[in-house]
Amino acid sequence: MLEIQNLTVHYGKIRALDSVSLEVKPGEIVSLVGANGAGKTTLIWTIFGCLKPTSGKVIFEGKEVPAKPNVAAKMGMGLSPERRRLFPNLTVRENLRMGAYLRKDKAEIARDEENMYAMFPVLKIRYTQYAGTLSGGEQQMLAIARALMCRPKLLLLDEPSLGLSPLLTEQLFAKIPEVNATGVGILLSEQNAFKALKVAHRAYVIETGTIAMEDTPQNLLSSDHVRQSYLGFRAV
Amino acid sequence: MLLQTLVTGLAIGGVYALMAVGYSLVFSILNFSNFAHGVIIMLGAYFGYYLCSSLGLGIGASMLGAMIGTAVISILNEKLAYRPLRLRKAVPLYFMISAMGAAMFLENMVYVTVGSHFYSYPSFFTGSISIGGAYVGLLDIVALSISTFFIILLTLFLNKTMMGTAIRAASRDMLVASTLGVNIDGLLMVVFALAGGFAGIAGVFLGVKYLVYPTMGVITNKAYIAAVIGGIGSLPGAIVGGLILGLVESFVSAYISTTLRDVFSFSMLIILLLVLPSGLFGKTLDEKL
Ligand SMILES: Nc1ncnc2c1ncn2[C@@H]1O[C@H](COP(=O)(O)OP(=O)(O)OP(=O)(O)O)[C@@H](O)[C@H]1O
Ligand SMILES: [Mg+2]
Repeated sequence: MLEIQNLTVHYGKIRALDSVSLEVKPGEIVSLVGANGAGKTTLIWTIFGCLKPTSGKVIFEGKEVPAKPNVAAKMGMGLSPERRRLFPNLTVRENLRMGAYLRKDKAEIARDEENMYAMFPVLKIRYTQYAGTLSGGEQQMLAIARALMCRPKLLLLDEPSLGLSPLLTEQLFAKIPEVNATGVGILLSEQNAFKALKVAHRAYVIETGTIAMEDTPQNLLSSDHVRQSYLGFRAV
Repeated sequence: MLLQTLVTGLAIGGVYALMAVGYSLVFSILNFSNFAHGVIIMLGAYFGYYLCSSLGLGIGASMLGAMIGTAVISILNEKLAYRPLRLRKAVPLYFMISAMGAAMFLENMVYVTVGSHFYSYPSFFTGSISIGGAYVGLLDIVALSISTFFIILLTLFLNKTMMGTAIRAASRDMLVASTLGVNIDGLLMVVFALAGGFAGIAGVFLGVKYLVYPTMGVITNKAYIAAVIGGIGSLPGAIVGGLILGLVESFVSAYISTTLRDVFSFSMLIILLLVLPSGLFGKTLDEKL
């Protein structure tokens, strides 16, 4: 459903991505694993049309995604950005409603809102509260719920575990297959390589702007390079 | 005397609020002070003047016409002077300079086309009514009612509609709003149409109360002060700032001295900014806009 071909992205003169190719098939959970500054966030923003690539293409369901994020949203992608980026001056409920901005089906929107409250019960308790007053974990759940409110065919998750306690991270990662089971494809960018690999069907390792490896999680988890560089095991 | 001063203060304060709202709306989204706004208010006064004195329309129709005219100019102002900067991700300073350029351009267009004459509106709402022994100007009452009406309408729009919610969202994070499907060009068109429409109403009131001339936009510096007093970028701030300024001016004129009026307003601004650098309503997390 998502196909990225030879994507190169620059920030001024700095090259952040160098000819990256990647694919997400329908119904797949694909993880993107890499160290700080490897280019994960750059890739996610470029897929969504927020950054203009120097060369290469992003193709979603057979159509090229232009450098216009509102069009990417229309095409059926949803984004939960790094550091959440909620609207702090809007209530929890208004943030969710913003997620459904493009939808007109009022009754369905109300039903999806209830579904989000069922999936993340704490949001229900806080729904009249300003998003800026939520705890980090609550904010992360809201960021994901907001992205789901647009009923995306593909959900891009950038560092959902950032700043969360191990327990919350655990709970959050448990939601990923749950969302996927509703037919949503997922591209997950994570520094927490172990968790990201555990949950994925397929994964890419990104290193200084290029794809270094692509494989099944099982193979990557047993690769010496991944074990040493991303999982903290020492070479034997 | 007291009641009359109060109503006059609230009336001029209401008009300041209408103007300040335009500064604040634009500031909240694009983070710059739109110094072309004052000139657009001036154009509103001209539009209204021509509609009622040359075409002989009533005040209501003239005001509506002025609103539409200034809304269109305001939208064009954004498309021609700010959009190119936006696409290049320019910093706010450049927007401000571009705004000043647009202001000079429009002001000079007025000099070239209609000249520097002073015009006065036909008389509207000249009477006064007596409330409990005090005489209150009809114009003041009308100005206060109409500004209140439009400000309530705007508040409802921003808080109860999806487009309004999107404007508040974009005022915090334009990029993320666009990833949810918000068309930023369209959203800014709405924002500038609103700011422009409010400028039109305010311009007509200023024209009816004072005179119409090319540099009358200077009066709107005070509306900018009102926006800053309230905390620029904040809607309640613009309203409260406008009303405070109107009341201070009215009471200083009535009880101290008319010539000291502006000295008081500007001193108030400076003192307030020393105490509260971001204005009365600025920067509190939940109340930007
Ligand atoms: N706005 C920017 N301007 C200039 N360089 C940038 C900008 N954003 C990112 N970079 C650079 O691009 C490279 C990739 O950054 P990116 O944020 O994509 O990494 P990441 O893999 O998401 O890292 P992290 O795991 O820390 O979030 C880094 O070297 C970074 O310094
Ligand atoms: Mg990142």
